[in-house]
Order: sequence, then structure tokens, then C-alpha cells
Amino acid sequence: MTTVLHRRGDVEFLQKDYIIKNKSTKGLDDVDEETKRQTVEKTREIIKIIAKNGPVNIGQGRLGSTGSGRTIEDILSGVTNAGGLSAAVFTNKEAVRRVLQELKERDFGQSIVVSGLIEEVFAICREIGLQPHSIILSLGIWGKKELLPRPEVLDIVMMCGHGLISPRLVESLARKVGRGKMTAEEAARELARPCICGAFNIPAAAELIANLAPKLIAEEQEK
Amino acid sequence: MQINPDKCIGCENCLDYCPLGAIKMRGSVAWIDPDPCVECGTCYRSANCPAEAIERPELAWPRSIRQWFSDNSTRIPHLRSLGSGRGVDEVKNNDRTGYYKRGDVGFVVEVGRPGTSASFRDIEKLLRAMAAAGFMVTERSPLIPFLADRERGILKKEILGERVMTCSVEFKTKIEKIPEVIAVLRRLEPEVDTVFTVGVLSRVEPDGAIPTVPILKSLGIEPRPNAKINVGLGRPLVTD
Repeated sequence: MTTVLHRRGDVEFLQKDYIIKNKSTKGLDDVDEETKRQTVEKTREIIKIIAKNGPVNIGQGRLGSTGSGRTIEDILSGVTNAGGLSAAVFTNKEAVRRVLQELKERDFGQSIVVSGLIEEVFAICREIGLQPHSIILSLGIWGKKELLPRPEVLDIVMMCGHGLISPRLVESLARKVGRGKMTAEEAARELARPCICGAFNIPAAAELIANLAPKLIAEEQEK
Repeated sequence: MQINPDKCIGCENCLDYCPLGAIKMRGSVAWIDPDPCVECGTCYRSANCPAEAIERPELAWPRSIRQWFSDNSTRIPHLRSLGSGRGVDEVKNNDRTGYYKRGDVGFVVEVGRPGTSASFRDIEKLLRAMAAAGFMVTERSPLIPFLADRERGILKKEILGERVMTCSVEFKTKIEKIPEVIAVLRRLEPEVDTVFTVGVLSRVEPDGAIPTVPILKSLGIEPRPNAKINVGLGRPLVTD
């Protein structure tokens, strides 16, 4: 599933939205029990490196994410099979560079993908001596687009690639923000809870909600 | 998913949490409409029901396929042998598998994304259209156990009435076939009652060039400035 591929927003916005994932490989990492054990250990080490560089969210599929209430310790102790890390979100490229630099030095041999601005990720790779191997480009959304929510809401719900964030919840929480009943940060944290793999960018969502809230209130008043 | 009417206190808190708007009020209690519900479990996990009225019953086939493709906290039993979940491997570990070599391209079409959900009838429209043009779903696709005829893109009849949050479908072909695939997808757009995202996968050239970009641009398609990039840290590294 290309869950972290189709992030929306302009270049300025995307400069604060990078996602790192790792993935083990069927047929290489599961050939025997010792290899599986080593793969689990490598995944845990990768998560530790990522965690110390300040991700704003991090999650592991079935275990949940820091955004949905788990701790890094929960995630580390829950990695028990050769799977990989679902997502870790960073809001600056310097942190991404530090993570990739250390992963290169430690040479775990596990596949790492970074979702983000192509030019920026390629520049980081050049800087630390990595050759990007493969890429999947986003051609965006096709089909019956009239079914989609308004663009400001779509920008937020698209951060959960599994589609688990409700557009209606986004609008409901944004209205509460607009009425001063909660902060945009609190709303973003609530929206992060359904996204159990941890791909939701909480600070970016807070920024988007802060922009959306007054628009919704103004629209209500016009009615 | 279902809401126990004897427990529900009618607070309406859960209504906003359903990504598909399937939770409605029926009288003084909330009710989940089984048709749009894709069994993603979001209400159960995240809606904070104060009466613990949201229940997750054991699902019988074929309704169970909704949960397998919509709830990423569950495993799809049929897919363990494929080594993946409901997703596709696309670039994730291509540096180690070498599944996509230079000159190959992959199309990952995610039907129902974002947030509209998809019926298997719509998913089959994609499969049939692609198959008719000579593009078969990859052998590592999570749909493989549910296909009746892979060469013709026909799904098992019993799942056609089911819906899922999204379904990723991966096709592998050669770079020169990009215009043909894009033509199929363009023809499909008005035919489906949902949305779909499109991703195009390739190797990165040694000089950093992305070979698909000029072809896409010649077709009037400008890829997004952001992408998903395998940075080549896997070992052993496939370089051919």
C-alpha cells in the first residue's frame, strides 16, 4: 500500500513533512529462526536511531503509534517478528539526514524508504554518499473527485494513508477550535489517534486546522 | 461493526469518527449501516464510547474481506505466504529483491483512496480494463487469492458485493508501455464510482535521473514534487 506516497500540500508545506519506513524482505529475512531474530534486533536498532532524532509520530502497524497513545518503549517491545517499521514522521530534513547518516554507518542491510520532496531527499543522499535506488512518483487522485471532501480537509485526511481519519471529525474538531473550545494542537492529537501506523504529521495537521477553523466559523455565520 | 442498542446511551460521540459516515442515529441510539461500513474498526478503537456499546463481531466470509482490506491492525490469513499485508511491496525493498529492474515500471493503483472506499465491482473494472490491454496484476498482489481469472482480471463472484476502504493493485510492465497504461486509466476514470490514486515506480538512474518523468510530462502529466524513495541501504544490494 502506498500509504505515505500521496501527501498533499505545496513545496513550502512539504518541507515540514518527511516519513521514514523500513521493510524486511520475504525470502531473505525469514529463512530461519536465527535470521528472523537478527531481523527483529535490527528493526529495534533502527527504531532507536529514528526515535532519538525527534520524530513527531512513529508507529508500527498492529502495535499502534505514539500519536495513537503508544510509547517508543511499547513499540520497541512489540516488535517481535520480522516486519519493519510502519512510519516515522519528521518535520525537518536535517533530522532525516542524521537518521540516514547513522543508518548508513551502522549498515544494517535493511531496506529504508523516505517519503518527501524529491529534490531534498536526493540532495541528502548525495551529501552522505547514498545512491537512491528506486522511486515511486505520485500522479495524484483520479476518478470521481466530486466524492472528495473540501481540499483543506483532504490535505489532513490524506496524511493517514489507510483512510482512517474521518473528514467529518476534521470539520467537527476544527469548529471546536474556531469556537475556542480546544487548541489546534489538541485537535491534531485527537485526529492522530485513528492513524495507528503513525504516518500522521501532528504539527502539520495543527497548522492546517488553525487555518481551517476560522473559515468554517465564518461559513457558519454566513448561513 | 455494530452498536449494541441496549448499551448505547445516544451521546452521538461516535458519529464523527467513522471515516465513511456509516454511523447514524436511529431513534435515540446510534446504528451502523452495514452497507457503507468497511469494518475498519476505527469507531471501536478511537471513538471513546462511554458505554462500550461498539462491538466487533466475528465476521463470516465473504464479509470478512472488508476487515482484511480495511483494518491495518489485522492480518489477512490468505496473504502470509506472499510475505506482505494488504499493501504491495512497490519500492519498499526493491533494493534487495530487484523485482523492478532498469527499464521496468510499476503502476500502483489504490482504488477507494482517499476516504471514499471501493466496491470490488469497481476494483474488478480496473483489473478487467488493464487485463484487456495486456497488463496483469502482479503475482505478489494481495488480490491474488481472491481472483477467479488473473489473465482476464476477474474476481471471485462472492466478493463482488463487498466494499473495502482501499485496495492497492500493482501492475508491472516496461517503460515504453507507460502511455498505454495511462490511456487505460484515463478511460477508467468516468467508469468507476469512486476515486483512485496512481503511483508510478521505476529505478533511479545512476546520475539521479528519473526515467519516467519525461514520458509522463509528454503525456501532460506533472508528477507531484514529493515521492517515496528507496535510498539503497538494503544488502545485498541489487544494482542491475
